[in-house]
Amino acid sequence: MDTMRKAFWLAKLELDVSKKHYLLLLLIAGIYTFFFYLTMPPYLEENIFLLDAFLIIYVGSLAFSIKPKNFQYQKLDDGLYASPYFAMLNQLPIKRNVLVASRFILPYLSIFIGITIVLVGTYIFSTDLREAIEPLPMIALIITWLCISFSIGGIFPASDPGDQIKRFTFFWSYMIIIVFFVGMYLIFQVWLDTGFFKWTIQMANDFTILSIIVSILIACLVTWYWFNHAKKQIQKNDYLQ
Amino acid sequence: MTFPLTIRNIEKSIDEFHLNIQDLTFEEGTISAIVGTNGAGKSTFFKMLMNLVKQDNGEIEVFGHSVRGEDDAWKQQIAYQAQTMIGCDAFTGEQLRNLMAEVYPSWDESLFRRFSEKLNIPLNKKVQKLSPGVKTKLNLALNFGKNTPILMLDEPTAAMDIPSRNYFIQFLLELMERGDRTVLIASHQADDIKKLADYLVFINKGSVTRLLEKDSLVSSYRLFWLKEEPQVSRIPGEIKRTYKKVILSNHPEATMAYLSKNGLVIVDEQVPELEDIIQEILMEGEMINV
Repeated sequence: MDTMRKAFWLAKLELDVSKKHYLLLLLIAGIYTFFFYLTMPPYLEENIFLLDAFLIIYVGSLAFSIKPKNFQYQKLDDGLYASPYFAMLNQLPIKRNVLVASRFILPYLSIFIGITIVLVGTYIFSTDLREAIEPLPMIALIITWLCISFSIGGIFPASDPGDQIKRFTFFWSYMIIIVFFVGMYLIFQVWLDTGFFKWTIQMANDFTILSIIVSILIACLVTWYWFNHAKKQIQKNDYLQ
Repeated sequence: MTFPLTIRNIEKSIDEFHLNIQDLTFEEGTISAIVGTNGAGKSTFFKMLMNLVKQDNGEIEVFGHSVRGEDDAWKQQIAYQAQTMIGCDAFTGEQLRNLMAEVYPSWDESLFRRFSEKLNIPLNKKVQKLSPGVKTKLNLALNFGKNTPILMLDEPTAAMDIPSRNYFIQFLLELMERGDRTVLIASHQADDIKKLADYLVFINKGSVTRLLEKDSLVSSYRLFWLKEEPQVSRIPGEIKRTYKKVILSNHPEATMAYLSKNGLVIVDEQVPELEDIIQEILMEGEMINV
């Protein structure tokens, strides 16, 4: 309990200097809501891959769009990429659990705000989406997408302690992103003949409770993994700056 | 007895650079200056003490607690000031003060206020808008406010104006009067070292000397002005010869014995300036054993 209290205290301090970035978050959420509202009818009919891709990009951008530049992952010295703010906090007597937990709070808050606005907004404005899913399964769909977003977005706070970047690290990172999108295309568009978002609608409709439970379980497991990864990186990295 | 800071045979290799420190123990109530040229490894040494750079071998203990353990509570005992104020740009001095006061149970508001008010540090301005000198002053104010038993300062006066530097020295000496603090300071300012340090530790190309008592070190060197130029190229104890007749020795007794035996007249004899000794040790790579 004390860990979370202290983690929230640190997050609040960070929030004090990043408030204006939340206006940017609202703007991005508004733009995406409008985009999804426009593309939802053809998507539900023809499984347009672009909407799935944009949804994943949106999810990925939520976790770091609220961070001021000084808090973002960047080059600190020859090999180390990390958040300078994290490097500063790491010099202080803050328990590692508190330190790492505090890094997750604001990104997860922005994911919560961003996903809720886009999905609720799209549901309100899009007749086609309302016809595709009832309000109760819609709640399950929102929870599912929050969990997907936490799982994907967790990589950003988990990266704050930093990584030793070698010559081909960025190349392989981009390759993983490409493989992820290709995999998503092959699984959903080619194999299941549907879209990723559309598939989650189907799951929320057919297995409302189960989809909530499975989503939460996966999000907890992945977050736990990111949390431990961040702790390991603290012990592994040399902060020479 | 538990010492504030104990180092046992630590090693670290980073690319071509190799740092090796045998045994060092820093006692309570002392100021030790870490002296070395640029890139000698002073900052790496400090960062290893803070477990920010992880040693390959050996052990570092803060009041008997290993810095490599899972529990980072030992950090409450240390105020560490790095050369650069990283990750603070978005905050004001007041916000940073709030952070430090929250995480350091020993926080002393009066120390922080006294130092920051005396040096007119604008606490409501964002750090990114402060000049390098003011940033250093703010950093010092925050580290004094932490009121910890160990203070590690990496080139704290590098960007400071003369009055502020003098006030810093006065402030630090006043803090030392209580006798329960241990200070490690890396500095290129001979004046700071002269006024502050009780002990010196030299770092040269990754090698580290043992703790050298400043006064003993200084008195172990002597400058001899001779009447005539000695005929031999190097006399016992001689480490440097200037104007052909001025000999700097690190074994004055051996030098004097030789001079007397060979009938060479000493016109004047002086204890050299600390700055000259440091210069010799660092530039000539003479890692002394006194």
